[in-house]
Amino acid sequence: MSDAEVAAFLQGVELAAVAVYQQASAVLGSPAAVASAQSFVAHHRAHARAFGELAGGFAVVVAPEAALDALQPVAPLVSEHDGLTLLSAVEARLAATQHAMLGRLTSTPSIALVATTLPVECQHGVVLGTLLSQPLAQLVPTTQGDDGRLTPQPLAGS
Amino acid sequence: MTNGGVPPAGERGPGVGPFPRRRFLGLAATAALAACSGGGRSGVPDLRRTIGASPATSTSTTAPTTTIDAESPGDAVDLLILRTASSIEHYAAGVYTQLAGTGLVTTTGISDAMRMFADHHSAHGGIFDGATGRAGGAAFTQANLVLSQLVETRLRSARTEADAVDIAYGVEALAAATFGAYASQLTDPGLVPLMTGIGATEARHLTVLGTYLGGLGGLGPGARATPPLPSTGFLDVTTAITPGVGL
Repeated sequence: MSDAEVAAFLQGVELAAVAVYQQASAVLGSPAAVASAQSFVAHHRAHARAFGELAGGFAVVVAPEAALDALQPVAPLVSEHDGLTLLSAVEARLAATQHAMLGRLTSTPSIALVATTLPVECQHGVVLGTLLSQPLAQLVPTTQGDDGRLTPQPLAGS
Repeated sequence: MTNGGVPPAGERGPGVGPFPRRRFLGLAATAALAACSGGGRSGVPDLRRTIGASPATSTSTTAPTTTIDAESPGDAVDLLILRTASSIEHYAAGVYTQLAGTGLVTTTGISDAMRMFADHHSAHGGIFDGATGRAGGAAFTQANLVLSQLVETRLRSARTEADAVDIAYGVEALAAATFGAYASQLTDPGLVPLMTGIGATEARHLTVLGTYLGGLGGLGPGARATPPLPSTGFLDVTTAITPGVGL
């Protein structure tokens, strides 16, 4: 895969995250959760735009079905806790995916972009995990890994 | 955003702050060569500043010579970045130790967090030290000299738990920014996820500390000085230090 193709893949995953945030927003009610979700979905849109610019002709217009399927909840969302748990998992998978794709990128602009989006996906995860009262060790691993990453072909969890 | 005593980018000297890759590579090569040129005091080659170079055997007590190993400019750049990363991690671990010694941090949750973060920084330092060795260089196992000097005043003037957390916040902001700014300058592709993965953990630290300082509010633009994460959605790299500074 070229860097442009990787960027398109990451753009698609960001767009899928936006869709999942919109889905989860229906069960978010507390001011902190609502404000966080609104802020983070804006970040994901900004990330998608930035990856789309790098993707050039490979850029996608909507989230690919495979990415949407991969990030979908496995059970209906009935509470704020359900919504936050889903979003926390989405952020973890985005971070793992971007981290894994770093090893495939070769150009400075591509690497530089992921180096500034990946940490923020991780920060989203900390905020969502804090709202879920997750233990500190879960919020902050020693280093970022690839567990739960999405892979481009076929786009599935690993 | 505070940054552990380092002036904002616009107020820094010429050696601090991210800049374009081409200029960086030129300066890094110069710095690497300068580091390889001896520079030790009292006739002893300063191995801390010997990046990927081996001091030649010499009986001279005044002018040690250094031979440069067959090393590509890319290797020299990687070693400079890795050694700087090590210096930041050792500095960060040291600052947390000093903060614990002040007795200012009494809230159990935050003291537990700071203890964990100190352990992370020690582990990260070991990771960067190991990567430096595998890349053929001498690990930089000390705290960054410039940063250590700059933070001293803030440590001495800290009076409250919030002051202590604010100092830690600055340390994490600088570490995350530096790793985020310079991961793309590494020439060994295997080092990129390593550095970015560690930088991501520093960013997580930052969010925990920022949340302590001001809660989860203030996620909007320009809301406060120590936000838990950037309102733009992109890591702020303006507090990065230039590789080579403080070694």
